[in-house]
Amino acid sequence: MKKLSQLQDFFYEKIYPDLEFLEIKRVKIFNYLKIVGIVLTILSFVIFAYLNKFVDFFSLVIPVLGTFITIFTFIYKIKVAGFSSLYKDFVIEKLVLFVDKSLRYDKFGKISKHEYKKSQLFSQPIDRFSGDDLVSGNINGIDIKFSELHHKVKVENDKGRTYYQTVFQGIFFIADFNKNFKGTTIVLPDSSEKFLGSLSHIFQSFSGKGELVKLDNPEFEKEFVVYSNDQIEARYILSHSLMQNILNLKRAVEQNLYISFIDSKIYIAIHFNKNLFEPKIYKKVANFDDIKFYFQTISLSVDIVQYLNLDRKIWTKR
Amino acid sequence: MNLFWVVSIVLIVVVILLYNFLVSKKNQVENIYGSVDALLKKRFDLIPSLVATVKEAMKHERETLEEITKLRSNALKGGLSSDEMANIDKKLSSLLGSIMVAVENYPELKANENTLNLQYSLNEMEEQLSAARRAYNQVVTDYNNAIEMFPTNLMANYMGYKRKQVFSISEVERKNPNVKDLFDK
Repeated sequence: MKKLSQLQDFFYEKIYPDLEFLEIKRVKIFNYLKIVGIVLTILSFVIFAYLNKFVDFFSLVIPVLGTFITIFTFIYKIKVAGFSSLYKDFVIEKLVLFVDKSLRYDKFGKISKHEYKKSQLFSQPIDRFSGDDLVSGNINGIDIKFSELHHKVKVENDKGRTYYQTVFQGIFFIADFNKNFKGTTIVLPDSSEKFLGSLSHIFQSFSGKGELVKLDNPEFEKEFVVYSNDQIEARYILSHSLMQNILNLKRAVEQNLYISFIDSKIYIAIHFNKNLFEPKIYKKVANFDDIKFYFQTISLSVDIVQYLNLDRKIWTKR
Repeated sequence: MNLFWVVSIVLIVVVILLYNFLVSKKNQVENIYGSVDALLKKRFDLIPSLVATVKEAMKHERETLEEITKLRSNALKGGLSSDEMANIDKKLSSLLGSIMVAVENYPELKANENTLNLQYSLNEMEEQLSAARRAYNQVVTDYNNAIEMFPTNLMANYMGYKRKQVFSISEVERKNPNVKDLFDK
């Protein structure tokens, strides 16, 4: 893993000059949007005042405001998408290659819905599915890929209005696992064990995700709940060392981890609950903290191979 | 009178539930033991080829090899209880481990494709066995808890269920290997 001091040098030598150019662009777009906002507000007042002579006040509010907000959102989205695309070309792609030269980056690419579903990590229906920033490559002989994904489900509130709720938003990682197996084993964050202790096993055994697997690492059991359709295979996969390595990874990412082992592949979902690798139009782009966070996220995803010893397949897989 | 019937029915249901619970625990143990047994047999099948491959070269380990063969024939005689099998497994694992380490001292064996294949198969088998032992230990722990905890212990006593022994897992197996420590030695 590259060190932060190396990142600092890289930042000032390779990224900062482009960031200065991007900053000028950002200020321009930001000012443009401010002007559009002011013009649209004045325009809406004028139209509002004119139409108010013929139509009453309350029936005007929603159509007039709605029209102008839609126009503004449309312009905002086009401008921000263009800027975001530039930012990814100049910054994110460079960061990915800085982490490892052999990696490939596709700013529009994503892990497919089919692969996401195959992981069996999130069983809710997929009503909206989006993603970007696909990184792929071969680390120490292991094929890996990961991208940002956002899965939403349609829900209805008490008043009958529907809205979309996030099920998962974060980094979704897929790699070959170093052992062959046929069954399905799923590792999920365990929230009930902390409060209920061993009583939680009673509730967990009715989850419908498979047979509950009780493992012999108390610390791991506290953090995760494991389901599988094969008790022995689950333990074949989750060796003592892998359980410890997963705990180390959890500590390093400081986010909830969802892991599944299916068809000799490992699927990992790291839930960030926010959009990653996107610049903010109202915030300075030449900001080292943002770059540091993106660098850490990318390198941590790549380092999963080392964290979980996925490249250790001298004896167990040929 | 009505109360008598209600209490009787509740008692009968409780007894049936306890009985079925204990039977399911016992069957779980037997089911997983079946898998452990199958893997142990698979490993026994590897022993003759291992002995044949390394016997000529490994003159200093002849005693260990003889003991491995003896343990194998004892185990294959059949009629062993799960506890006796657990003891044989423990001894065999340690002896096979020492043979695998000793192979490092024989360059002609290290270069032999046959030995490498056997090493691969034994290692894979050890990993699978370790998983099966852990699964077995978990169901045995659940079973032992059930026959010792109230109120299932009353029923278990009546059914004549006895505590079962878990497979002991060696310290080496438990430990997370640290490559740095190995190099520092």
